[in-house]
Amino acid sequence: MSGAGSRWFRINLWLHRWTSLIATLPFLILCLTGTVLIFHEEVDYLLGVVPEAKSRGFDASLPLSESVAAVKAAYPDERIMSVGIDPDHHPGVLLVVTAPKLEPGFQAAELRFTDIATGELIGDPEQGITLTGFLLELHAEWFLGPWGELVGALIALLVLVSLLSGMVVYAPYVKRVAFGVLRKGKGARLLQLDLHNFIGAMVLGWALVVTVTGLLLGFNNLAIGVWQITGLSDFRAEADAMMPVDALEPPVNLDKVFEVATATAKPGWQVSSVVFPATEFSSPRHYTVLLVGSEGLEERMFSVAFVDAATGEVPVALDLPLYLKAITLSQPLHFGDYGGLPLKILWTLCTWLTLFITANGAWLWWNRRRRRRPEEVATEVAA
Amino acid sequence: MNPGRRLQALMLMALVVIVGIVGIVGMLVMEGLPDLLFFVLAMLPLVLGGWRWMIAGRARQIS
Repeated sequence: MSGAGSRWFRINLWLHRWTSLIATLPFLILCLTGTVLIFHEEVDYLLGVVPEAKSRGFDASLPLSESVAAVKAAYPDERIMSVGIDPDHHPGVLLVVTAPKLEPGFQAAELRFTDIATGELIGDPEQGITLTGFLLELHAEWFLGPWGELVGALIALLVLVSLLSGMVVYAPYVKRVAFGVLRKGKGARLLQLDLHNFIGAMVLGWALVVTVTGLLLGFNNLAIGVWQITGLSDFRAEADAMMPVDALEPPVNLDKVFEVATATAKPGWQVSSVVFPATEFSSPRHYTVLLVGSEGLEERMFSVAFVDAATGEVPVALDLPLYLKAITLSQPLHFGDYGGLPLKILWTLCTWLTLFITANGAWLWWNRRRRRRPEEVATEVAA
Repeated sequence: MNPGRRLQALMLMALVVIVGIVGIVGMLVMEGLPDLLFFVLAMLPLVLGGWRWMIAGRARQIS
């Protein structure tokens, strides 16, 4: 049933050809931008756009509120949207997101940096978007904002269909031509076909992982919205009925939020970021606190706590639903940034090999179309 | 190729794909020495591919 002349084979050949061809150009862009993004930490460091604190540790002796006050003083027309700490990549630095006052969304947000130990602003305030930030916007959103993520998901879906149908098309081939054999001296077309199948088989496992995770990441914003509507609806209804706090000067300050969120967290879990009240990711009354685990998979997972900005109580603390956990875990598996330089080199090799077979697959189609009649396709691929 | 070798070729391919995926996912889950072992698994498809290419290149098999 799965032979080269069967209906099942022909359907998969058609799917493999057309999903690949439609996805070729965006996929080439994804491979090129992805290669740079694999090394985003190194690129940012070389370009000097990574702010460095004088003290590398998390110096709790100076209140975080000092850092917040410094940002407010430097940008009086803006409000604090969220703050975050990232000891692995930005030791000693508080990442502060600001936006125009009364702006609930993050679309017009700017990222500021302060030195936690001194409470002073660091980094270049006029820097604008970095090279890796620009490439990430292209890679993840196609410059279309949150809707662009769905475009990315569509491309990932096309690539996934191409990979799965490619496996079906490959099966009769590998029965005839041993893995690793390149038929040299029989024309450029057969050599390129052998290269396409051989390299495709080598990178198939990696490509499946990166494509499936890319597909999941494309639904990130949509999934957060679904969770807000479903899992958080009761809490949001209660919070909306409460007296809102002054979002510019919440009664409970940031240090207290860190303190109560850490005290109520599971053992080993630490505050990663805090969203201030009255944004699209918090209620008019509560801070939203994201916490991360300290080892293994938990390092990549989030839990959420809401801290009442008027009383300092934690009315709700909960884990992410399964679908958001899957999306969260997709991030490292997609970008390959969890295994140091060796894994980044593996990711780069696989990306370039995939780039090659994408281009060479398009050439195979063009070459066949130029030279052969359509009815010869199945026979040739089976060869 | 005879039926036995055909099946062997397909099984080898499936194994290469599964080992690569297990290696990539395992690295995310594990720390320390197991992490290193999973990296070896993640690299295996490329290493095996390179090895097969060299062997096939030497043999110059033409189907």
